[in-house]
Amino acid sequence: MSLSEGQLAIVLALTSLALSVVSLIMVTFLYRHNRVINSKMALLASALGSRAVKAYVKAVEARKERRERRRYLIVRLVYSGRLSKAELESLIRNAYEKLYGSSRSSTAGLKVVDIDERIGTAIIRFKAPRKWEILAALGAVENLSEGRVVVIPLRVSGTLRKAKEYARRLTRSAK
Amino acid sequence: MSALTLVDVAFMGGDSSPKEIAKTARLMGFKAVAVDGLRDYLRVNGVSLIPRHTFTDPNKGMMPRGNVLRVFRCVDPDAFKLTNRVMTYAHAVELGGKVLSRLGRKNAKKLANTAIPVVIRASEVYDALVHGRSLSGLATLLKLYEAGKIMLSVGSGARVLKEVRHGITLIALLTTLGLSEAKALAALTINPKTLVERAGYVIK
Repeated sequence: MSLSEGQLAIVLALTSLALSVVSLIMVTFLYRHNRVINSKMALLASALGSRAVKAYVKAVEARKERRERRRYLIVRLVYSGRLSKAELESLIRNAYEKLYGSSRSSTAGLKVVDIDERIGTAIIRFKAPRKWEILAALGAVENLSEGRVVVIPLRVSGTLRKAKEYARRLTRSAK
Repeated sequence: MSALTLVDVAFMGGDSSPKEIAKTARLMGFKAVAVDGLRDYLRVNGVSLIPRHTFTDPNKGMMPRGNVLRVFRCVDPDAFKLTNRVMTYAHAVELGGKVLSRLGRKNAKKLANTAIPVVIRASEVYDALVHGRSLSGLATLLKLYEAGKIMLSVGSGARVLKEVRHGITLIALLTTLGLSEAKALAALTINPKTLVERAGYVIK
């Protein structure tokens, strides 16, 4: 039995439609079960010890990496004379550079967001993975300012709103 | 005050008044401070002030008896002699100066074998870091501590009140130097507490 040109076109169209539906289902399934597949791939990689599979898993995981989260550190300042926002920032940045080098300092996302000179508090923003480094660098501020400025860490917050709230509470309790 | 029981075993500014020392210690989160040159135990403002005596020459002078934290300070690797007198009188060995720059393999082995607690001053570590001096001796010490072969305590080493650093800052320093968080925390809480207990004081 031979098919006419019209029938052949319909069969081809139906086949391609079926294939596209199947591929759509597969893509949806892969998207939903990405984690399971990744773990399976990792298992497979460990079983096979294949470098190519390991590299593939690593590449997939790297694609999923999000941007580094920020944290806000509320500090108490003990200082003599006047201390501006820029001065405090340069002091902390210098201390960080002395301890960890300028390349790490440039990627630490260090910034003094707010400073309250009346009660001596400040909010410092930084990248979350650098928390310990920033805290350690605060100790070196004393060396660099020759004891003029002492920075005491109080609390680390995830959002600026909460950090400001905490600073406001400190202001109220100081009054 | 911090929820942790932080103890500073190396406050060298004995000339400051106890009230000022206690106020600063409270601000920096410490519950107990070993003050060099203090005659008697004091409790001011909820902070325990413990007398501490530092000696550098084990063969010279009489050691104070009684409940005093006695620390043998060694600043030169050549003067690193853990004699019987040191082992009898000292509660701990404090390492500073050149020893932090270079601690020989033999001296490190001695420390591990004698199991005498070791104290380091954070002010000296910061000085070395800021001035770009080598800290290979400290790296050896930290390796031994991480392996559980020595008991390490960190004190502020402050000579004036402004030099006292917050306990969390010191923990952060140790963490960035390569210690695990648990070990870094122990160097400021459990270890100094044990050390002070050996001198006859119980910190609650």
